[in-house]
Amino acid sequence: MWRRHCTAVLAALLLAFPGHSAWAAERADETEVKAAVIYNLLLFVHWPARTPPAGSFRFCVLEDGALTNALRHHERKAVRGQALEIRLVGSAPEELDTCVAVMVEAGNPGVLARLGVLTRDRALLVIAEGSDAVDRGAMIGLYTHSGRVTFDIDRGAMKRSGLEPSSRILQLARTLTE
Amino acid sequence: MQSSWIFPALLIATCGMPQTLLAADDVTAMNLDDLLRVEVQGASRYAQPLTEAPSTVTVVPAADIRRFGFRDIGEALQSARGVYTSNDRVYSYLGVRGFSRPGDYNTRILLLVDGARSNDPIYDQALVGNEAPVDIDWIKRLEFVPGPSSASYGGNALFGIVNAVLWTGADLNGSRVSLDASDAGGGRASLLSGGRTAAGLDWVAGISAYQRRGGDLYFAEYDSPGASDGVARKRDGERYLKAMLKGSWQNWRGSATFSQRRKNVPTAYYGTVFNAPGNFVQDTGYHVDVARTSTLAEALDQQLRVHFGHYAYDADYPFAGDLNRDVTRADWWSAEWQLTWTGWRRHRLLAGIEARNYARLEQRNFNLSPRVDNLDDRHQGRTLGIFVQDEWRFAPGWLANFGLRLDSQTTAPTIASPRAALIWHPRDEITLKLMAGSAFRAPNDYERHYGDNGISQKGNPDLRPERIQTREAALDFTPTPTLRLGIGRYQYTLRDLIDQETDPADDLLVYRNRDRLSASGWETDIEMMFGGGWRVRGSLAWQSIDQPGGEPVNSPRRLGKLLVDGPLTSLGATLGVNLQAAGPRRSLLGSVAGHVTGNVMLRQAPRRGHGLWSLGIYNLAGNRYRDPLGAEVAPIDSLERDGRQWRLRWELEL
Repeated sequence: MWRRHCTAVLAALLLAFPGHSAWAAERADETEVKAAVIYNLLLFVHWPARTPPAGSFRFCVLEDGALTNALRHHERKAVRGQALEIRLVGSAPEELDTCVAVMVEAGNPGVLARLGVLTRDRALLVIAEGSDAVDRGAMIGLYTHSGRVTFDIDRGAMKRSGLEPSSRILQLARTLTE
Repeated sequence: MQSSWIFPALLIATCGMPQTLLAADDVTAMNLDDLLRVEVQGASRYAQPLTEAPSTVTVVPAADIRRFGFRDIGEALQSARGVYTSNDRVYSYLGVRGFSRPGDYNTRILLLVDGARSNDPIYDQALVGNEAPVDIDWIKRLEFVPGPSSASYGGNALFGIVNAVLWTGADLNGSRVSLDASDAGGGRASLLSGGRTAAGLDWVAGISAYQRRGGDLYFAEYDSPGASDGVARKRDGERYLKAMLKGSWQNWRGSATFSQRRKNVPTAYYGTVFNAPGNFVQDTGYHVDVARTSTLAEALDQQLRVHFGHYAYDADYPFAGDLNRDVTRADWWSAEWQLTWTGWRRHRLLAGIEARNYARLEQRNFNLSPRVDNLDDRHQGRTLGIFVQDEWRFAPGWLANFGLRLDSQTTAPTIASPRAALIWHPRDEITLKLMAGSAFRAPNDYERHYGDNGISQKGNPDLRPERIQTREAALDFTPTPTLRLGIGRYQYTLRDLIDQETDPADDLLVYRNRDRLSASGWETDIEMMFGGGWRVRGSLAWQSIDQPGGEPVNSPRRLGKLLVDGPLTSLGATLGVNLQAAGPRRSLLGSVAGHVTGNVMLRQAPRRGHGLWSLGIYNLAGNRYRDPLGAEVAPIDSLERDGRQWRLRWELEL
């Protein structure tokens, strides 16, 4: 019996004792970094003067997942002179009426296409996880590339909704769609 | 032998461990430029290939599982268009695209748990009822990818993949306790906890226990005056215990799941004594999965994964004057190495190799007293698969996806499974997909070797692999934010289908390759949102299978579904209504009528720190409907499904 399993055990041991590390890079939890990037991105987007309507900067999420939990670490911090509020909403359109931004976590296909249709006439920033999120209809797509968090921006979609990204984040975006 | 060179490769590939991990506080204080320089550990590599799959994916999120009160994976999947279930009071069976054969243990559906294969290697069975490897409440999201996926996953993925994505610690960030009471003396207790420590260890632990005494069941087939009144009294009991431990730290992740389910069998199948005690099956399985993701170079990521699996099947068959027993054991492990390269603009290339080693494939059958060994079959086996895939965004709004996998195994020649898809997304409202692919399933150990010395069944070692070729088109249209329409057309051809039949020469059940079978169908669905958070989803499916010998068994030509949910603000609760309709189906000897059933779920709105109640009534109208059964249950040809059932649940989030 042992002989049957020994190759498998060996493989597990090999996995458990990794090799060299050339340099001690600063590392962090992907979700925490993504949440911090999202918070920072909000500081570099200009909304039309009449938004946001609520007393707080209402950032809506569709799912109570890991990224949402990480974003809660930024709750009450200031965005455009207002306190950041994380609000869980369903996917019904009227629930999004009071939101100024909405985020879709990874693994929620289908929702983005609908949000794309929904945001055409209003200043709602759509942020989503995934390297193809912008192709699927997000304005900002967040993902990891080569072990670092990066983002794409669909500037055309933002402009159509009356949103203006600052030149700072346009420079930092990995891919920019006009 | 063929897998011996994988391990040096695994060794070479493990490099570059992180030395320091920033605390969450450090990260929240950083500016954008610095954040983009920080190296991160992968979080969701498991699920990504599926969500980008070239298929019409249906996702059942945990919110729907709760709102509609789905009690198992099969029930949740039944909300997807074109999916139906049947049940023989031993296991739950999934029907997809009109296909669900008696004697087929969900062998043509691949069940993944966090991306890891969970079908056992003896029966190839995807367990989707209470016998499933994971508890429905551990699932954050259930993904159903219809169509052939052998190009990515190898054998079994003929009609689709089901991927159960479990909660992470960061998702849960606390504990969930639930207590259920249900009809026929049913009860369940469950605890699920998870969190993420300051050092970055993400952990989840869960345990669930369930028991149901079961009611009395009447079978007209056994109602013969003087012998039996046809009632199986308390012979339908069931219990399970499931446990799970899952964790991730830096770029490592691991999980261990355990499930044991025992079910009493009231149908006197295989000619056992009707209403006898001790007629049961027990399925036990555990899985251990360890994976590591890392970046090898700019734009080149890798994932390594090692998986151990164990499956045990124990069943007692009380025959007149004798007790017969099945003892089946399987141990296997697999290793997979996957590379993703995004360095070529507009392409995302994926290549990988997967080796599986079946260290123990053991089937035994014997009579207890006097001890007579009818079957003592022990085998080993291995498979090796290599696969490549490219996702090519060749023009704005266009995506092409090509995949090819080669599988070689001890029981079948090398098989190539190609897949291609073209996706056009010209504007937000429209997505058009054209897909073609093929998939296979090699005959399993049970089909090849199970025989009980002339009692009920014999093996057929000469079976050939079965193959499917599918062509599919799907259109998704979202004309307004509150309306989505989907329509799809598919055609498939199955060659060398492995099907159960009775050999007229000796009256024994045996699996044989059948002639070519072809099928086609339409599926359409609609989703509408209304004011106040109400949502209506409906779907229709028309399917027809053309095969020699006439209409196939257990294949409804029409399926319809209607799901409505929304808040009842005045009650502080949500309502979920789930209607399922299926057309008539042929059975082995006759037919069963079409049916409509409805489930209603009322659930208090959640408030963290406060308990909440929910009540589900299943088959509300108490409609009587039947499922066709396999030949092993003769003289019963079809079986009545449960009438009205209920489940009262109390849950608490801490």
